[in-house]
Amino acid sequence: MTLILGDFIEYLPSKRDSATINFTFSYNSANHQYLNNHLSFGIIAIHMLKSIGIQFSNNATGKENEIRNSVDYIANELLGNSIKYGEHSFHEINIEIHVFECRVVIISTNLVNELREKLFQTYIQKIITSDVSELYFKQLEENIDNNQKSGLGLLTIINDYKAKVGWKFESSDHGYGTLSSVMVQLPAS
Amino acid sequence: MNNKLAKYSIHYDSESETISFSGKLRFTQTDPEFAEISELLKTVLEKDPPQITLNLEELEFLNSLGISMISKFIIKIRNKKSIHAIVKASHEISWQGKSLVNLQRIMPSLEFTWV
Repeated sequence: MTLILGDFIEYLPSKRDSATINFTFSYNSANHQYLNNHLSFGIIAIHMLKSIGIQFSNNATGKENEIRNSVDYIANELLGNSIKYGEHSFHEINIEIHVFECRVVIISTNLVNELREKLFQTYIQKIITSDVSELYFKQLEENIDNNQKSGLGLLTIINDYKAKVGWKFESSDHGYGTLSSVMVQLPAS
Repeated sequence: MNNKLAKYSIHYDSESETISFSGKLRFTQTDPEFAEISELLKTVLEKDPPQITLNLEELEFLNSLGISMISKFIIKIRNKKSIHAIVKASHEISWQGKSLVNLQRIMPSLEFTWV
């Protein structure tokens, strides 16, 4: 059974003028990379865009930097969430970068248990049915004395980066848990 | 406070009550340095100075937990009602243009200096 929420493209174009790179991490490797190395997904995305013919003119250095920094931020937030909420004993963490039609699509996939799946789906419904900007400030004011909780990752991606976000939940063939994917679409023009 | 591996540094000037962040700062909840920096911000706030400056001009990267920490610090300054807050930011660093503008909504009297 598959559940799609928000702006999730199930079948991304893969034939012409597109490129895909897939990173598969064990939990330990993802955690190590996240904590110790600043993975530069943004530089990779820029090379991918150039490889399919997207040109950044000399006076568009600012735009190239902006895309690079945005992809870096978003991919690192998704990786961080996968490490935090994923069932790492049973499954790897997957980060995919896909570029096509002046768009960068970043997808993270990890396994979640039943409780986490329900909590996540409730939170997604809240995001979909709320004014994200209001939710952003409410989240900060309500957790003012709790520095351990951010809850801002997805909200900043939607509110600050104006990206489209979608989610997919599908049965896992591990006989345990659900595969949870988050897709973020960012314009690259 | 320096972390060469994580490529960031934080400097607190107690005379001017300025906290300067630079480099790439990516916290996790379990990071002991996250607790240390939270404690530093709390200490500065408890001194109740007339003015606090956050200099972020050289902060190239900050993750959502860091954005949350700085936003909550600004909320606490606002709630004190006695402290003038200044944030120094850079147009050259794209995340700052996207995310720091939210601080103005949190505290309308916040003074921004952009370079």
